[in-house]
Amino acid sequence: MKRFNIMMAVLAVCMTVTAGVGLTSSYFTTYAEAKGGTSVVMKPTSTTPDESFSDWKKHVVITNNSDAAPVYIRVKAFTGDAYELNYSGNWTPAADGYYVYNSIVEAGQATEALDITIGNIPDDAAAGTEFNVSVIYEATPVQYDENGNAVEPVNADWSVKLDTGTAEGGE
Amino acid sequence: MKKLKKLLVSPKFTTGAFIVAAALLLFSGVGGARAALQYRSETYSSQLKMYNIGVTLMENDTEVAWRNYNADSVLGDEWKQQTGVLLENLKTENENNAMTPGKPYEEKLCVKNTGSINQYVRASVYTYWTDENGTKRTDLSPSLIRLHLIEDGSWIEDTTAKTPERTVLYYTKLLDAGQQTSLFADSIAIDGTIATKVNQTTADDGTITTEYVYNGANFVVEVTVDAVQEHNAQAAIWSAWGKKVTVSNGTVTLGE
Repeated sequence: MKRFNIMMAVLAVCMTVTAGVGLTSSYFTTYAEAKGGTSVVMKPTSTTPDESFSDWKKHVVITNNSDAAPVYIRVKAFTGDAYELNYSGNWTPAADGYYVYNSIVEAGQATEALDITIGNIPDDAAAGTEFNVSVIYEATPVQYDENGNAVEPVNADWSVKLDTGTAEGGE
Repeated sequence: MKKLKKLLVSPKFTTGAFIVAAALLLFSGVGGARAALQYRSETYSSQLKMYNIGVTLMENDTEVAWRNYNADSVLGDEWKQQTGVLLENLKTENENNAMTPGKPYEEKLCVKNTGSINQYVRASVYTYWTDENGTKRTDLSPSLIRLHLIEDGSWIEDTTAKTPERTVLYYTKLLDAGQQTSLFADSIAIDGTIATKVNQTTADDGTITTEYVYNGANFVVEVTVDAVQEHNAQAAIWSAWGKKVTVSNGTVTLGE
């Protein structure tokens, strides 16, 4: 009898509580899903310089090797203060003394020669006198604007620094 | 006091309380009754209009994913749906649809109301990197996947729902049946900084070869579009999407 009383009391409480529950509503809803992906391809860049000398001119040609990504090329030369360097060819002077090749160099193609004329050669220069003209060059992958068009070589951003991993110093 | 205690534990009291509770439950469902004039018109025929809700994700002017409710009094109600595939027809210059870093490719996304009732919609965009087995990679940031989202006032971002992988956009206008929204994305690109991690070697002849560490990395874009009815939209959005919004004159603003 006692158990019956307890059960009845519990049932009474439950029904009293549910009497206060409001109506629930359902709404029209729907959804659609889509998913997809692809990969990123970054062809390696591989460029080879070629230098020759004649008539007080250094001729510099850079080749973009086959199966490589198209690149921009820029070149810069150094020599002693006694000499003067003058550049000519299908290259445009740019920042920091570099000369930028005017076209994108595709895989398997080479630049036209950058002719670096050495000036201020002393008239009394003795035979065997040595001098040095150092040439450095850089290549960077082609860049694109917001419309997907390749940026002109003279407007390329050369400030991107590559992360080649950690380096250890020697003793 | 003893009498009161005795009364409360008595079977009669318990039974009486139960009867009162049952009566309360019964009468809580009874509404007020009114008397009204009745008028019966002549017999006429009418059509019963069923309200179907449907939404479709459009990619580059093509329907790629949808879920439409079709209420048919003869054949029965059913959902017609398709889960879509994105980035299948990217116009890339590479094999296997691969993308070149730094170069944007066309990826126009919008939503179409393919139901028969007006609705409010939102789009949730997820981007992440995976390995060849489809497992997520955590060494590459989702921010390198640049899906260019358009927030022009027609679409606004719910910044409270933003995570490194997820962006949620709400279309602020009521989308009429049969109409489509303006674009919420128009291009996709991979940030060029992914190409800065390299292995570089210089040969004796001066040949410099640069190989990219993340060459061949895979990435995924997922889009889910949700639609909710126009009627009582504010409550519907709160119930279905868990988001407090204000709906006024066909315009949605986030927050109360």
